[in-house]
Amino acid sequence: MTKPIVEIDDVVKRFPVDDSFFAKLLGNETYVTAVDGVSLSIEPGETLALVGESGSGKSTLANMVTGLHSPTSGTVKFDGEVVGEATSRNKETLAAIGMVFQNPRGSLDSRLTIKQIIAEPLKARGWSAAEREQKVESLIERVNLSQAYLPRHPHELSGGEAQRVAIARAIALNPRLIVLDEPVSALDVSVQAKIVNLLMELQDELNLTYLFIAHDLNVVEHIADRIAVMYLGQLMEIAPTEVLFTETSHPYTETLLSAIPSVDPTKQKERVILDGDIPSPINTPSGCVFHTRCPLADEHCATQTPAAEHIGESTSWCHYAAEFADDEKRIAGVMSDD
Amino acid sequence: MSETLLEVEDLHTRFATREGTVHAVEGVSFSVDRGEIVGVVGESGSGKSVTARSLIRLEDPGYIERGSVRFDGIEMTDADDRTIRRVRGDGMAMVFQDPMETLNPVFSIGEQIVESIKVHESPEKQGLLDYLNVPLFSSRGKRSQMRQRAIDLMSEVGIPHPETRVSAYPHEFSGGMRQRAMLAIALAREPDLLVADEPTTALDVTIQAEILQRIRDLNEELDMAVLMITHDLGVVAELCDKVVVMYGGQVMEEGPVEDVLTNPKHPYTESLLGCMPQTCARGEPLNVIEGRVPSMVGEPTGCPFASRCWCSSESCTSGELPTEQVGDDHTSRCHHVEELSESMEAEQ
Repeated sequence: MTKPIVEIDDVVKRFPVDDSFFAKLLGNETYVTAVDGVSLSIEPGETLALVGESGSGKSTLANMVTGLHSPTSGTVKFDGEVVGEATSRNKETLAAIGMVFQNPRGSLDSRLTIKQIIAEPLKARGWSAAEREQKVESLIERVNLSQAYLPRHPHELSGGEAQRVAIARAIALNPRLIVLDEPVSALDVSVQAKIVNLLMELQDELNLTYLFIAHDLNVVEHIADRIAVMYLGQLMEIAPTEVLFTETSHPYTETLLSAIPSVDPTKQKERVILDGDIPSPINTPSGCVFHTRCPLADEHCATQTPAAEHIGESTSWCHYAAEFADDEKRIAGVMSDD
Repeated sequence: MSETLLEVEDLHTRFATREGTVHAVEGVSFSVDRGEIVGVVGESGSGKSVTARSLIRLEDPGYIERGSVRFDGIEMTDADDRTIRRVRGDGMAMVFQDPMETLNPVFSIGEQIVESIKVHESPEKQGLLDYLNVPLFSSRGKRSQMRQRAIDLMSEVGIPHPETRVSAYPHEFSGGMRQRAMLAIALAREPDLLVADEPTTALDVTIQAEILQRIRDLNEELDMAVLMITHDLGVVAELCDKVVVMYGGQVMEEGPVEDVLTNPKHPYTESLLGCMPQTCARGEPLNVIEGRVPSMVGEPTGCPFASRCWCSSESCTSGELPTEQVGDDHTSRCHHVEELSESMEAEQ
């Protein structure tokens, strides 16, 4: 068995909402718990996808892997060593983790040329001007853009082109892990397809590991090896892609899957629609965090926090995971009884 | 009983820019019947949104070069401001893509819904006194009545706790909630036609499913027609009765959703469907459309899709596009419809 490249162990991240002196004095500081006790590991060469609604803590978890946030408690290990915030990491670790953000235009400095943008990480590692020139030229061609783009500025690029530049910058220092935070969510289907293809090519060629954040399950199904489903800062289910899509063992995953619109109008499926919005992460529900919206929840769910249950190849955090996995139709049945 | 509500004919909307005239919409024709849900799909830059804005005459800074938009017997292209205001007041309502930019941050959601109700009730006259709430000139009973109506509308679109939320401001709402508030504002006018410009693009799939369900319910209950602008073919398959596929400011294919999505008769529709990750085996490279959307500056010649099309020939690069009837109410504007259906049969 290979050693995991990233190990996340019981990580908690809380952001203060009100931690002023008076709040502390009165003992009513409030915090947003963005990530609440998540443990997972990423094997070298695999694509692990993180999915969930907005506000489920996907990006915060990814930011702790890249070092943009430091965890409140728990540890993030890269290559077996505990890594902290980006400023405290050594240069090798920094170079080994690349990042691509959601909004391609927002993540490129509008005052720099494309050439300067891609060369920036190289400059930080002390490459000479000549080496940088050569490397930037090979990188821009690697992401299928012509060298004519190098003197341009980000505002002259389309969304897809800007995302290619961001990918070129992320692979500049030959990283081993790339954290992709919704890299294709802002793009049209035809452009999205090209970027997904490019990412798969690069993974094969450069032997990359991806942590892929998305809310579009169609793309995730295509690219990911394993999928971790998050809700309100906690893991709901982790499973290999095929297993997750065919034998769901968590009601939340089921609702996510049923929400995907199908392109085939003749195949209208039974839909599970959740009521209301995701609860506030300031006062998370007791017991299972999903019980307030779960169609199967009972009193037990409201009081007891579910433990991890292993069902086949998947791990599920639901009291009724086993029963749910046995009887896929159950949730649809409950819905139609109402 | 299908009575035509909106009829767009040969619409041309242009923008004068320093680089030249942008032909954003180039001869678009389609119609929406009462109670029908029509989808308009295409990539970014294909002229969908400009078409939608032209319908309610918000095309500024562009201008309508020629063509006609007939809504319920009113010719919108040469109507005066008063008539246009009337139509916006109780005929056509629009929901925009970004709810944060279209809601007014300094008024509470309730006030914004009430304003919409006022516009609906008296589209001709908007007295300043109605807005100032001076005790002598406005009745308290009427005000609380309107507030109650706003609360009813909010619960109708699925906003929880409308009694307390009615006095909340847009920044206190989440994205899905804001979009629902926009929907409430649009519905306050009891429109015959709801024009929705990518209403769910910025939202999560679960919230999207809920909003689509809500639109469908409202369509059935109020017999309200919907024009749905989107780039997601999944949304079209889910919601619409009829679909109009646009590219380069022109209609490429039009027809009933089942027909168009399962049996596309235009290479562009086919390519667009091919790009969807669902249609490809896992781990395999996805199908792509080579090239990019044309710039639309200057007079277009021939088929806008010719440079990216796998079956284009010399006849595609010049002249008018033919409109081929390929089924009941199903038309495709392509020179190679026959070859396309032959090659698809061969594939099967």
